[in-house]
Amino acid sequence: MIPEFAILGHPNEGKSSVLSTLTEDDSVRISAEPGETIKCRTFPVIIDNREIIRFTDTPGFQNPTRMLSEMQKFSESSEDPLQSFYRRYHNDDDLRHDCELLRPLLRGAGILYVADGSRPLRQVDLAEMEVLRLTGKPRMAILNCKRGEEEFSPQWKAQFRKHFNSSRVFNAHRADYRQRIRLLEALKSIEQDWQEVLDYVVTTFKDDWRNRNYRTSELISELLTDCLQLKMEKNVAPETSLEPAKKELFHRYTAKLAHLENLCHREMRKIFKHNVFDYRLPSHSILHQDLFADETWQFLGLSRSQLAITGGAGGAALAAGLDLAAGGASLGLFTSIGGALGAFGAVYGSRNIASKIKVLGIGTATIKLQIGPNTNPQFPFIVLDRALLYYSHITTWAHGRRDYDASLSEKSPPVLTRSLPRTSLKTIGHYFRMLQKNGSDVADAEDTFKKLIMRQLNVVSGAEEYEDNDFH
Amino acid sequence: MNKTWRFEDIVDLDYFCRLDRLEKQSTEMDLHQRDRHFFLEARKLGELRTISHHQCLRFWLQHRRRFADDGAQHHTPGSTLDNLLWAGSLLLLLLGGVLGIGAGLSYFAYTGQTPLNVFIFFTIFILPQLLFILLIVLRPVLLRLANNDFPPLLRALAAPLKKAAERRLRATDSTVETVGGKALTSLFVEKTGNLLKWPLFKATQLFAVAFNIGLAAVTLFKIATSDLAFGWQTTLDIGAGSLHSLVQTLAFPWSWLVAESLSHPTLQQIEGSRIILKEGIYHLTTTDLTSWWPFLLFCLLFYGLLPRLILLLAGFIMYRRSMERYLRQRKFYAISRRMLTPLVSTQAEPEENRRDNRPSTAETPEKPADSQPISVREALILIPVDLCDDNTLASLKEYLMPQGFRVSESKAIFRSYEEDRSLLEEMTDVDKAVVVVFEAWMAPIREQLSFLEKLACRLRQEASLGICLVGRPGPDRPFVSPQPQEYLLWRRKIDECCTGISFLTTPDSAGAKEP
Repeated sequence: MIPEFAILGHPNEGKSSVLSTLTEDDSVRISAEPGETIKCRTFPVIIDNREIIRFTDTPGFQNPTRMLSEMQKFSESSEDPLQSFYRRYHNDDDLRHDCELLRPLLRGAGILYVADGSRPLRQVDLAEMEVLRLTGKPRMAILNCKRGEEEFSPQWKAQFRKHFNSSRVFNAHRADYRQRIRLLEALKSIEQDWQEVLDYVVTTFKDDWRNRNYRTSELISELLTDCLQLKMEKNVAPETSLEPAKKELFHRYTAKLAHLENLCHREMRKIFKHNVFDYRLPSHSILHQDLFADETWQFLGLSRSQLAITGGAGGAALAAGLDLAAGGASLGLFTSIGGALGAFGAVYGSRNIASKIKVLGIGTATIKLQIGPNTNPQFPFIVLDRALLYYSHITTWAHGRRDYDASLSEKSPPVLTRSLPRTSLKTIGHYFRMLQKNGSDVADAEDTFKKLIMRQLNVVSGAEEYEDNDFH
Repeated sequence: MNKTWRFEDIVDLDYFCRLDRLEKQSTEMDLHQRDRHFFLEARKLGELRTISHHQCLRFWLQHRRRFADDGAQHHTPGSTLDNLLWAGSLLLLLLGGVLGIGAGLSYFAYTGQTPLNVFIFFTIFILPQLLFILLIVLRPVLLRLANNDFPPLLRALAAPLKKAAERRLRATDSTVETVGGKALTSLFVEKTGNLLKWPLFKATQLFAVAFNIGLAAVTLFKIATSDLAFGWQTTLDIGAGSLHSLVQTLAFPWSWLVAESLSHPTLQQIEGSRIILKEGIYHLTTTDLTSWWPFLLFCLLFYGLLPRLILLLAGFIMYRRSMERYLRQRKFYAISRRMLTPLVSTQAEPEENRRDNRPSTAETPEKPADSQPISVREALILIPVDLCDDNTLASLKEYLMPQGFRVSESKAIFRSYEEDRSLLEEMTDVDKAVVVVFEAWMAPIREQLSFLEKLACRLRQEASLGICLVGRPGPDRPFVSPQPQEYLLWRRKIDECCTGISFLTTPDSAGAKEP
């Protein structure tokens, strides 16, 4: 028999949210309107085309005190309260929701009782807990603090200890990968017979997560390759002014970079199953800023001393020096393309831009302008930081969460490259230089880079470390 | 399954990867499902006992070939190129052997007039080979060849090979031609294409090995079957002593292996084999003239054949290394990853039986009617057991008084089903106003609405029924007004089951609109 876990509770306690987050299914409709779920809905966990366990969402209790009264009577007369109650009342219109929620229990499902720990405990809650105790099924309570406040948690926990095998705090709006795994691990404690199968599920979920992180590291690596090797050319007639052409070329270049970044972000969303609802970044996120915006270059990327560690700053300093030596003549020729370019100078002053436009050659018929490939040592770190930040956002955005407008604190220190140790920065710097040089021996550097990024993604999402190339 | 990778396999692996990417309709999920299926099948059949990246790739290739074959027996790009490479290598081997034999025969064409000049043997057969090897060794080719473009010689060999392979692929179906062509091109052009260098490098070394073997065979044959004389001559002022030192140095690699008499000619033998044209050769002794052949043969073996064999071995090793590197590409790791990662789905069954077409709770709540009591009535207040404390009761009494209700009695409800039923029984005799309090911040449930419905039915006509909705209590405010959406929801639910019930304003009645 396939182990089944029924999610039960009072209406509007966040049962569907818990399930949506636990199963990473953002197709579950979650409404502020209580009583939306009127039929049980199954969430099978299928591994390699085989259903291993299943979770079942149920309608909320509608008549808990009556149920308790009836079931106590059955219990006193030595009848099975669950079976007898269902048998007697399954056609009763008043109790149809209550009978519906008992159906999975009749099949032998374990109970996951969801309660909102941010509200006070009520008599109906006690009745519900007692009803569940009378069913005699393996059961666990989940405290889902909907408002984020936990002032009533002690009351709830005290009651949980009386009625359940175990209890856990699980915030459906905040739970990340680590908390999901912990909840699944905790399920093992409620029924010994299900331990093995739950072990398998947990291991598989971990493998799956690792696979997602691996794919993400690949995506990031591809994005960096594309961004660093991107170059664009434009032919201009000799008699026309170069400035508009430069502006247009620059605009095309930045638009293409933004497009590449968007594609990467979209793929990341898909990998982490944010399919149905359009995930939006927190309103204050630095990711709302353009890739070349002042703020982006101020808050992301490496410090000057860190850049020096990577070995990339020498070239940048040299470039700045050469610009100065040119006494501004080169600036007049290459960099005066409007305010947007000025933003590039956030790190090295206004002279050191992210990507210069070069006049490749002046022929008789046309002048060839070229922008990219970008050789600024800071640029790939900015792109990488933005990708890591995006990863951090989507992996901490619970699938059961729908309050898109609520502010979410932006994780910064542990995510960004500037928090990495010197050796890692050197490795990344080496890889970036290989890409910027369009080197042929990039495979080894890429391999090392991806492993490093994988480690960083694991740190961000709280996943376990794995040995390199250890697939299982 | 621990075989080494054949060149054919590597090319086909790349070819099938390209084929996957070409099929636009194949999403990552499709590929994952297919490749995971391969893995599970292999495990079921016991064909995959140990799991490694290479094992997975090999098994994947085997399945892909099986799928692609579908009885049509197409030539894959791998087999096409491999066949051509094999034929080319064989051709070079034969050519080397023939050239070695030919060169040997022409050198050893001794007529008895003049001894064969050992300097010429050395200059033609040993020195160029040494220089060529030196060129290979000095240039960090063995280490860097894998990273650089094709060296010119190998490029010259690669070009006709590519043309021939493309011609053969053209004879197969169009997909094989298109994708296979790309896979082939990648071997010649792309950064990862270094792999082809090593089979070509090995082929050139095979040529050289065959050449040296042919030459050594002819040398031995001629020595065994004809009367050869070797001598040396020079116009320069080089004495036999200097030549002896040079010969001794050259013989160092094999001097420990054979007797000194065989390893190289002695000083006397060198002096005795010097050809001076004006003196002729008749005064030279035969033993001195024949003393050179073991040395020359050893030179050929140690400076011609042996380095080539070493380079051939190095070619094998470098091929292995570059193959390892080639298989470390992300597209190949993706295959192992897809095979080894279980397919996980936690998607819910399609949703049905949801309540729809409900009026939105977001609509603005109508302002509760300002109840201006004409006269104060006595009221019984029914209050949920959870709110039955003195503070809340006092607040409620205080609140209801201005509404025209003087609370004379209060009763707890929702403690138990039985108590509620008995209470309802008693309600038939009540002739005062009844106010029922609900906690509007909790979701309305059937049990509460049903109680209200039954209460409304039981009350006498003259007894009025009022509802007092309270909001979520704060730590210092036990009695607050509900939120607008909570108010609306409760109101709608109550209206659905009862009629003629008045909703009493709460202390912050405006709060229903602006809590």
